[in-house]
Amino acid sequence: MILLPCGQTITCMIKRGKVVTAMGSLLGDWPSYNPQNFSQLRPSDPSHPLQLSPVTYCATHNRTIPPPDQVISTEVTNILLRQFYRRGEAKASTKRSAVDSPSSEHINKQRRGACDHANMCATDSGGNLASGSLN
Amino acid sequence: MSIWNYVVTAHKPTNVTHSCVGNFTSPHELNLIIAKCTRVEIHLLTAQGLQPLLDVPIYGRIATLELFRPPGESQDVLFISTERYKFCVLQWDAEATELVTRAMGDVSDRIGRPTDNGQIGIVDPDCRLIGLHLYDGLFKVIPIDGKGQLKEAFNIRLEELQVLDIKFLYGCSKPTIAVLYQDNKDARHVKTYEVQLKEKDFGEGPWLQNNLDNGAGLLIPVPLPLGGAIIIGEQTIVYYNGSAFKAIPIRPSITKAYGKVDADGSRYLLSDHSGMLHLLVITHDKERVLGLKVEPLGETSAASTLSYLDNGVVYVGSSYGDSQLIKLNSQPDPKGSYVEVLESFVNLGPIVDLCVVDLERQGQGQVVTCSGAFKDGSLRIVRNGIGINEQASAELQDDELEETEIAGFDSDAQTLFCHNAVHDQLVQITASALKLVDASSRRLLNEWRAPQGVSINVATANASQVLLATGGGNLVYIEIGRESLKELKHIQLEYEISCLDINPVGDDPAHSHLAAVGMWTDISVRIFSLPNLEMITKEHLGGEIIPRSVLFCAFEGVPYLLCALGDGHLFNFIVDISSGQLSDRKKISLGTQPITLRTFRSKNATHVFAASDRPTVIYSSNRKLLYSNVNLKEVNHMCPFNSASFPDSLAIGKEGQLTIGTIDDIQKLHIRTVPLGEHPRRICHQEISRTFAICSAKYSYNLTSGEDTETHFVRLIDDQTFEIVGSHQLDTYENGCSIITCSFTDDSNIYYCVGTAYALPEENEPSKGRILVFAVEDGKLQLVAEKETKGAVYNLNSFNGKLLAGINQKIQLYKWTLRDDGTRELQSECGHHGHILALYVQSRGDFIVVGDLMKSISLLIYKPEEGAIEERARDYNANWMTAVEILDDDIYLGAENSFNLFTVRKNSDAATDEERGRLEVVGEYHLGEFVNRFRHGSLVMCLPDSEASQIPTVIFGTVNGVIGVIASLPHEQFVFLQKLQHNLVKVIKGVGGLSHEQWRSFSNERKTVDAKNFLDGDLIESFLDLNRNRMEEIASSMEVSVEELCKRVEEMTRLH
Repeated sequence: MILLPCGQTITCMIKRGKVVTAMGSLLGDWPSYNPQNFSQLRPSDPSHPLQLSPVTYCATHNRTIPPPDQVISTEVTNILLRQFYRRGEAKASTKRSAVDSPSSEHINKQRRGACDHANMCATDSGGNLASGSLN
Repeated sequence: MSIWNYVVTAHKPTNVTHSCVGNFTSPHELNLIIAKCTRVEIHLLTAQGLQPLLDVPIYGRIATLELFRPPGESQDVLFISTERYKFCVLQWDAEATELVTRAMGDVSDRIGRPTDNGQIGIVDPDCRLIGLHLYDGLFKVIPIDGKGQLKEAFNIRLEELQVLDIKFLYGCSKPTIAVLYQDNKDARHVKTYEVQLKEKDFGEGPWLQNNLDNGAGLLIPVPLPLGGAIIIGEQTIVYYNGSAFKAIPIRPSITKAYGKVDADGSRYLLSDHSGMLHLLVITHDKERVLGLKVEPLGETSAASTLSYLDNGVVYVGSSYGDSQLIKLNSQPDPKGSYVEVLESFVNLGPIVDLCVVDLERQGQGQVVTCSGAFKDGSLRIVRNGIGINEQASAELQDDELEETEIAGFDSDAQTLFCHNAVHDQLVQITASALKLVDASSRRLLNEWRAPQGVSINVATANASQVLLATGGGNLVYIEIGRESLKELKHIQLEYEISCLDINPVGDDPAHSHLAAVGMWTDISVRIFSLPNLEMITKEHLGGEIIPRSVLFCAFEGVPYLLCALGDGHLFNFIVDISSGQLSDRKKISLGTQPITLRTFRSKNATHVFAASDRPTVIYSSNRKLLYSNVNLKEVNHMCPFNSASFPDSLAIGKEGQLTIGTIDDIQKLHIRTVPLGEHPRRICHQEISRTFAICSAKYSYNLTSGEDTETHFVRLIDDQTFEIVGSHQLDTYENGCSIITCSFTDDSNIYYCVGTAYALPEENEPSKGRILVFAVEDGKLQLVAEKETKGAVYNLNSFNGKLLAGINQKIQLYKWTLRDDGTRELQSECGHHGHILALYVQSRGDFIVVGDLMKSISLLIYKPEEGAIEERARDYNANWMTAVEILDDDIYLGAENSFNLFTVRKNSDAATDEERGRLEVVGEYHLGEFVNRFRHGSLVMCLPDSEASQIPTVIFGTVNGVIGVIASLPHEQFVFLQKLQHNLVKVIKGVGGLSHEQWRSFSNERKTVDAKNFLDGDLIESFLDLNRNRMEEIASSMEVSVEELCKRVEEMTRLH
């Protein structure tokens, strides 16, 4: 156990009766990807900062141009028009389905129910995100 | 100067804005990727530390940088977006060692208000989309499909207008963002949204949290299993995930950067505005969050980005100080810090002011910058070239250095050559003989004498071989054995021999099988085989100047032949060691006098010293030959000198003087740091008192009041030791704004004048300031006079024996008058109104050039007979200025706040008043850097007869720590280099598919136009990095030889 300003923290943690972690264990067990990394590094003189100069990259190849379908631009339709179109489409599809089959209302209801169910499952598996929202 | 300008970087940006860690160059290698405004650096993590791999120039200012892993792939790809609304996704092809563009595009919108708090670019942790917040009220989505392909982008309306941060949350079935924003009552909240890719809309998110800390500014998404987000405020840190809410109070501080330590998000590093590093720990039982803890670890540079690397080592990227590599220790050091600085990396940014001085009075400018901010403030002395630090000089009677006699040598004849040889022997070559001497007993062992009536003209030797030339083109080859000299070959050439070399560059360091011979008459250099002296190749050098020195040397394992002429030109060739053939001929100009070449070693690398009127060290970096000036005038000879008293030194022969010295690290720019612990803002140098004066601000934390306080000073600094020798504390709220050294009419003294402003908290614009006049007496600052002003004294200029000040919207001229009591005072003479804020002023004769806050450049004239200042002309563009300079009587240079440069010209000969009153814009260029100061001057040695020093230059300093040079070229040269630039753009492609033409186009909120009358020196000089085939391609389309092209570009590199 190390005595530090954290002495105060430790006591208050104990008071609250929760997990007690000493500074030593907070500051250790650092994640390691490759234990070799930095193992042979000697600290340099801090009063002489380094001037690193990596090789300057000079692209002379032709692969700086991406494949033609990966030149990305933004959809030109503005947000308002997109909403209108979408509403229009939604209306058209409900109308069409209404015309197509007289019993579609019933099917629609069923479908929506199935949809909702699927959604709920998804959110549940997503880690209780929906629960407690806005409460 | 002229309107044809060449802009080049002398010191690249060092301000680190972003960093990230991942497997970029290979699936099994960990890389640190750093963004320095317009450059990306790729490093590899190794046992020895960070290994720099590449420095990638980007044609844009990097706004966001993220690594992500497309689905099903084993390596990360790099997403970069630029401030001018371009983006690219880069992938490393390890086999071809190429950066490949996977995708790129333009994400600008025609209508939209750019965000105030910077651009945000984030990648969904499950890699379903890239989110961008570039304009208020809009969130742009670039969908990514299951194969990692990007799809057409679309915008979604975001109700929150003042967004502070946006992050993707982990572990959501639909991509979900958390938005930290401020409402119109200045309260701050977090809201979450689901991004519905199909509907192209937001759906309601899982949670929201209202009424956060007023200073909440940073969101940290927490990975699974915990999920949720941490909201960092100025007084509290909060964790929330929709159900669990944890908060802890912290000491008031502004957290600027965070870095995730553990993959599960249990620990984070936080760095605040004062550079205090904290560890934030989420205590949890793997499912539920139990609480938060914050522990101070220690102090580092104030971080702008933190990246946990590996094994407790962290990269601290800084905009305000040197970036650092630190180690987190589990035990505190004696000062209680858990942080150990392993390495620090130079950062000059932000350069807020600079001056150019010749401190060593050698005709070479040095730049002294006000660098860094707050506690990390410092002065940096930036010098071009390599310094020789004199240890001893033979003129002086030095105990450690005295003359010695070698009995076996002929001390009555002039020595042509002298060298150490095998078996602890020495060779001396004079006009008549070659003598072999025992190094310890110093007695003569053997001798070879030139035939009667023939004298040795030129000679060279290595440890075991001697090659010498006698008159009439006779060439003699001798081998050295133990006490023996064996003449093995003698041939006669058709002309006289001017120089020789047999320096071994093959495997055997004591023996060479090639000889280089320079010839009179046909001006050639020839390669002979040894010991047979058979000619392998002959290279005609052209012209009428004979070769004076030839030298074989190997740089980074590549063997070269250097051949120097009597007029300061130098050829270099690559040598094929086995065949002796020469290739890749290049020519450059080093000086104007004959050059003598000699190799030496420093830090385990071979370098060549070229002694001449402009001594130069030739070395190689990344397999490219570099030429660095040495801070000495005229050197005749140099040789390495390594003895007990003078380890690893050089002996340098000048006219009538022998100097022993050590050499600086071999690099082009040398930077010395003088840490101040406070923030320097203005600097000027005074020759007569050999001092600098600076305006600085010291920030401290008051423990009793719990507030940060700032105090402003005028400091006097010795220009040799850089110690603070005197200080003057300014009043409360008073800031130093400008400082100059000047003298006045009818007063022989030289003063420092300081302009100040009272920055009162309740005022938007200062309404009061002062001009303080100091004399330096006994190395101290003495306040001689002061004058109150009606605003901030943004600038001061010495103006025809008077003092010109820019005070808020007014230009004011003061004269220095004598009172009845003999004291002096500043008395207002005249002024000129009509500016928004007259921030930057330069003067020349009676002309005054004003750079306005928002009204570009205007030209005023002082009429002494009327005692008035009048406007003569102005540029009617609405440029928001950051710096101005006068290039010549008619041409003025400006920098504005959208990172552009431009030049304007006075139209004195125009027909109408209207035209005469208009400054014509003649040059425009996007620099991509925020310039704070222009200064006339040069970083390189000014030699009266060298071509490069005929080119006038201006030096500039920027927020990112760039030191740049603007050189005014003659029209012919400009046209030539413009053509080269045009050809280079076709060969050197913009990384990420970004266009050079678009990048360099002048662009601000009001207009975008192609660059004109400015050339991109960085691009032009990268010609020298190309391989031979590419060079030839360009040379042929330019209709000049590669040699000529290289020479002309090398000349440009010698401007900085």
